[in-house]
Amino acid sequence: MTIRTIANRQKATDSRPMAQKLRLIAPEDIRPNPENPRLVFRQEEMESLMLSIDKHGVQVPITVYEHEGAYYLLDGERRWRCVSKLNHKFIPAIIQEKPSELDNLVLMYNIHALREQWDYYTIASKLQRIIDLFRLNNDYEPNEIELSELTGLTRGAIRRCQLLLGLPERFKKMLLEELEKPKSQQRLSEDFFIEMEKSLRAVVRRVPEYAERIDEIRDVLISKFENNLISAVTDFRQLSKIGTGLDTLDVARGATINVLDRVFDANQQVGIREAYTETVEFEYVEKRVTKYAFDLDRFVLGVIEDDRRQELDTYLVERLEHLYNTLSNLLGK
Amino acid sequence: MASGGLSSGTDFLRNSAAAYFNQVYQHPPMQVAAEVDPSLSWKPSIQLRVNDHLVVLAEASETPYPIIFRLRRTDVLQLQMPISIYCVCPEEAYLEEQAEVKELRAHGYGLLTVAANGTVQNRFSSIPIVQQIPDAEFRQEITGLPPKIKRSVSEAFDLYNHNSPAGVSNITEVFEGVILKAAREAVKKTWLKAKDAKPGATAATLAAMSLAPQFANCAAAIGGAQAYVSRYRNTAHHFPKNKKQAHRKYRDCRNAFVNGIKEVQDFRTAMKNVGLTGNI
Repeated sequence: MTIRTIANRQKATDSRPMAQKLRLIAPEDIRPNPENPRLVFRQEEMESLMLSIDKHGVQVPITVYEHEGAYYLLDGERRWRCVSKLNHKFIPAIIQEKPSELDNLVLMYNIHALREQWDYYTIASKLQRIIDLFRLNNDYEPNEIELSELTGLTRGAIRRCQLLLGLPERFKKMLLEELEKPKSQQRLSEDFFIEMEKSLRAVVRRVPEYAERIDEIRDVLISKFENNLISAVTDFRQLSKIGTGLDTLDVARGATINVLDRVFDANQQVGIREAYTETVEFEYVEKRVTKYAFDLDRFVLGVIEDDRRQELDTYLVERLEHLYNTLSNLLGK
Repeated sequence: MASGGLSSGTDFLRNSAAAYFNQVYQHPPMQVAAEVDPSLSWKPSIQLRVNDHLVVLAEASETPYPIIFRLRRTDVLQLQMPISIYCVCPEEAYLEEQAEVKELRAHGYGLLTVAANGTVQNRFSSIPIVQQIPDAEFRQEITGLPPKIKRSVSEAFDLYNHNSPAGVSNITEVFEGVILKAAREAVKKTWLKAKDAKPGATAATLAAMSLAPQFANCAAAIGGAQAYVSRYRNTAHHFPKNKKQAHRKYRDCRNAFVNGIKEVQDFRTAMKNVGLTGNI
């Protein structure tokens, strides 16, 4: 259900034209929209907007609806914040009718998603409510495509949001507290949780025993990240590779699980990178080289078959001779 | 606007700073995101009226030098009240943005930094903006003074930056010292009598100078010194009854300090011109 769908539905159910009034409203009479998923406002972008408003005033009116004597924002929280900071007495606002909760949420998504990249937590925080309201109205849960159409988000973004939505409340609270800190003091980002969750899914799928203590594992990984034993968010991709390696590589399952146990143990000073090196790094290199070897073999066979030996670059021939000698040593021939 | 700050990270900074101010000023009346004056287009994150002599404003910001400080500096100076302004920023931003920090300090603002655990540190204090003398202006004013006086004046400036009335008293004392030295040298030359060059009687010394014929060519410098001493000698002791008087007092402090340096320069030059070349 896009903005157009909502507007059409409104037309169908209400033959009167939608009442829209342009007014000057005191900023202190305005409240943030309770459904606005946008929680994070960055200093740089806000200062740049404030500078513009200080110079030129508010050029585009904000949009509000009236409810029980107060105005609630539909669009324009950043402008409203800047105007409040600048002690403006009034702000131009278009007053609309109060939308339904689902319409309000969908409007929020569509208004904001069109303009700039939202933080994932911001999106995820209200996505569940949209799913619930949709289910209530339609008697079934929206799939990824329907959610994408409804909110204007890409399916990839929805998948990432769902990883955050799947976090236990305690971790969501932890992330929200982190996001509310000044940017320079944020250690745990949305990316951290998204990458951690992806990797844990990959591991738990192969080693279901870990599912029972998954929260404890999350705590250990967070603590190791905060103490720099896990030095980058991207390390979690290596954790995923250790997990998938159990299926796709010829590695000893017991030994790999043993190393994972050490990564998931708060008392062991083992990070993901060491675990990766110890378990699957060589096998992944082997796998990659196998592909190179296959490609090389196919290329050489092609050259022989087409009789194009004379066309080979001298440097390539030198490298092939060198490789031949190295392989002879390696294979003992 | 609940936070009183522009970005969403400022709630944490504002709360930490509020706790700090409560501790330092013993729970003064504090307002969040409130109007300071109808004519000022800025609602700071925190404002507290410490007493009739001092209003402290603080802006929670993710950077050490929030843009609103640049936009509203002149407007703050127009307000008839003494205002000290602080930026409250994260410790990490303080460490990373040293150029901004230096600029903030040079412009007379104070800085509080907040660590990740909420601990607040006062990096440097702010004196009311109306009485602020930038370092560059001070350095320019003292150019040409002999090293010994430069040191005394710099010491007075340091005091001024923490307590401006006391700094003004100090510069006045430096000036009185210069006058006394000139008078003592004049006594040696028998231009003045010994009773005219006694410590703590600057007005009498200047009156005697103005009557002595040897000082006839420096009447302007002596007159300037008389006016300065009578106007600013007791600046520190007048207790302002309200914020308007306090604003005037702090503005006078600034004028007194800068004029004090100028008077010392002018008086020394005039004394040298009449032949007092001793260690003035």
